[in-house]
Amino acid sequence: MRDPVNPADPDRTWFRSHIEPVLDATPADDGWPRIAARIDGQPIPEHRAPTRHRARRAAVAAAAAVLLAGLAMVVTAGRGDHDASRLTTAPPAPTGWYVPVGLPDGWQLESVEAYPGTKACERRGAQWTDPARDRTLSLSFDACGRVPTADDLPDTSMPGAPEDTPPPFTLQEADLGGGVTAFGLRDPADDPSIIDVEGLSWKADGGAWTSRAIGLGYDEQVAAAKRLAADPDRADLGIEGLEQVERWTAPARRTPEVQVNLVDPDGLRTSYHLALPGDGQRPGGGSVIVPTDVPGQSNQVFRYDTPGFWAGRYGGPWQGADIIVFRWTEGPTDAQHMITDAGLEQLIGSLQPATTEQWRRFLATATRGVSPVLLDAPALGSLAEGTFALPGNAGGKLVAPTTTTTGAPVTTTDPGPTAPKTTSTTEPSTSGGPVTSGPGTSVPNDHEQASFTELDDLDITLELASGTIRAGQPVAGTLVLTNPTDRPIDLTECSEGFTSWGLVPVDDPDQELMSRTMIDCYATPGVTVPAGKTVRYRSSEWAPTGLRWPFLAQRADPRNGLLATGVGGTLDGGQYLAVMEIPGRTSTLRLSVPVTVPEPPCPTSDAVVKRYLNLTEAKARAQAGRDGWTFRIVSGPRAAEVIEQDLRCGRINVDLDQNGIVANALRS
Amino acid sequence: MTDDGGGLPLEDLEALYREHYEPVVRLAHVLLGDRGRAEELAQDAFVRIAPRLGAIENPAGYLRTVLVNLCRDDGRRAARAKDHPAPVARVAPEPPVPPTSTAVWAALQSLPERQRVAVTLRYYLDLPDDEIAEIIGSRPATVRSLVHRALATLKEAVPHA
Repeated sequence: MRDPVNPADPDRTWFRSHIEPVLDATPADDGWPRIAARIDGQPIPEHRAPTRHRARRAAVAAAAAVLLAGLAMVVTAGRGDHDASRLTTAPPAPTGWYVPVGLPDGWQLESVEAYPGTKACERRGAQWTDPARDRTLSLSFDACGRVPTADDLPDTSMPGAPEDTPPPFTLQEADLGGGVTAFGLRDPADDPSIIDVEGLSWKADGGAWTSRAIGLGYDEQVAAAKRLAADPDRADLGIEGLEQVERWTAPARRTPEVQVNLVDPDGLRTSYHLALPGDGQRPGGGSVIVPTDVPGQSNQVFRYDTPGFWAGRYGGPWQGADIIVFRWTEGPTDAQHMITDAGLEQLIGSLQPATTEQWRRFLATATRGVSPVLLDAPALGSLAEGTFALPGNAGGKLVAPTTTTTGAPVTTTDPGPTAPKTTSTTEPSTSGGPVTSGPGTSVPNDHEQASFTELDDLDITLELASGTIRAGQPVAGTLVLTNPTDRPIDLTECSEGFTSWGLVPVDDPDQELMSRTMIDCYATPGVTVPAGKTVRYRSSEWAPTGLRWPFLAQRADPRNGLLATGVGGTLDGGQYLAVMEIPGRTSTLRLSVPVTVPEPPCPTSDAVVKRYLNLTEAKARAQAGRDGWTFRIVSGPRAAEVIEQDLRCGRINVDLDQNGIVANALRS
Repeated sequence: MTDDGGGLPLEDLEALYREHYEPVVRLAHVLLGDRGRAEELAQDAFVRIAPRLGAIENPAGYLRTVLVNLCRDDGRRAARAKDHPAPVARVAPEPPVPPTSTAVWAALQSLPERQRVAVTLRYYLDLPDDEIAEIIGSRPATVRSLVHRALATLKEAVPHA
């Protein structure tokens, strides 16, 4: 070791002799006034030192001002000099709204939907990736988060499980130093791919930190966690080759989201999402974030390279909003059915900040309609306040964008059904349209569950988007929660309480349902129903990961309801009930909707599904090769919609969860 | 100014500033190649350590570490923004500067980030290998390798160096 440095070291002398003249040529300004002002929260004095850097930034600022001027030219009367002709350009306050400007002919705005989101606590995080993009680590903090405990392990004593069933995970502890212990759920088979994606969580700063990694060994991940536990703000992860590519923060608030749906000149659908800064969806730990230059776009743009299919493709943290441009499929996930990267870049390159009026003019061009609340919301941030979660505001029902008078009757222009049809008989629907349960039946609990909601205080029904559920075509559900009382009610079912849902044969309605965590305490603190209001709680919000927990025409494995997908093979064709059971404080509510399951063209057995579940993508591909089938990924982490599958008997279609692990597999 | 989170009176921070501001600006200047940005990040570093100054055993060392991290983070952002060519600001400084210094300076700013940080911490801050290793998240042996390669590249920039 050469420590300490010898002042007479010729290399040191050589280095300094060449560097010092440069430094001496540009002495520093006095920075104390600015430091003191910042610490005291006072206005910051102008930074005077002229440098090329500031000159360059000034040029950028000037360019931005020109851009904004093009969007918002404000005519103001002169003060005192009566110079009425004087024009000043005023950059609009950031509304969080962005609209496409200059897209070629043929692009069309179809609809704009608003979602109220959930109440979230303070969050922040960062991600590191190596240039080869085969290793990544994400760190996140949730002030309301928690770390895994032994209670999170699956209970193998659940009914139906063999006595010697080994637990699929064990609780792993890692000493991070300083009295901090990290916990993670680890595969006892010691499969590195499983260890990596489960991550480590530790308590600190009043909440929970979680690190998740792909391509790193367990010891390497623990070493990184030690450094991050000591200094979560560090930019350098201390792992050779991994560089920080993102850091984000989000305060405690609701997390509204707006989805703008467009159709490109070829008729392919795409959309962009607007979320408040820090709230934007992020790809899972297996993703790589690639800084990308997009023509025409001065804001920072990232491309998300995600294993499998996650619809989010381009995005960035922009002023007033986190933006993600999504692409959807019209069927298979191939080039003929999906908009290309070039098309997506054209879209995100066209997005420009808009004033409230510009946004409303944009809304007025929607061919299918917009969510009513958008007609009144002056800014994206206003969707996080007060009365957004009103009936009809949470997606689904759209109104004519020209109906802008608050309180006026609205005209529904959605060509699809505008209101769910209530099915009150036991006859299953064969129309494929939406169906709704009745009020359900309430069964008293043996013991009061003090931490659960008193469901008798709420009026609850279950809506399904379709009365026909085909294999490979999951159907979304929506809980419609009406609170007739004069106080807000939190639906507090959490990881200790399991809502169950699934399909059971009409002639065997007592068949066991798979237990699932409807409100995932790791990510969502629950849903609040304001006094006298109705909240529509979509299945995409019941849990933020995996298959979005819709209704599947597949058998369920009740043992694996918590940690694994727990789905089995395809159901035979016939009449079924879509059932949901919600445990409450004093009773359990059972809701049911009759549905039809068409005969699957190529049945998939339980054994086939289970052969693929919980594999990494690479291992699943290899398995498909051994089975003699082609392989396709049909959905990936955090896709906002479930993709309709193109089923072929000689191919295995897999859904990947947020960590790139197979969550479902179907041959047909 | 005081706070109850370990901060010191403003005058203590100012004393730290008077002693260390110029050196940390120069350090940031070496790491970034941009004097204006160096001043901004140096000020950021002082603002960041202010709330916890009273709890820090070695404020100057901590300040330096914070600054290096800020510079590395900033440098990566700048590089990403330009798809990896050297940022515009990383050009030869204004005269009067000897031509050899200009060449070395330009070569220094063109070095891979870890090499640039390692050689600067080694020969400008006189930090031992293990401290450099801790800052950049490498082993001391890696630091020595980085410094060696950096120095070789810099010397190649100067004929007959």
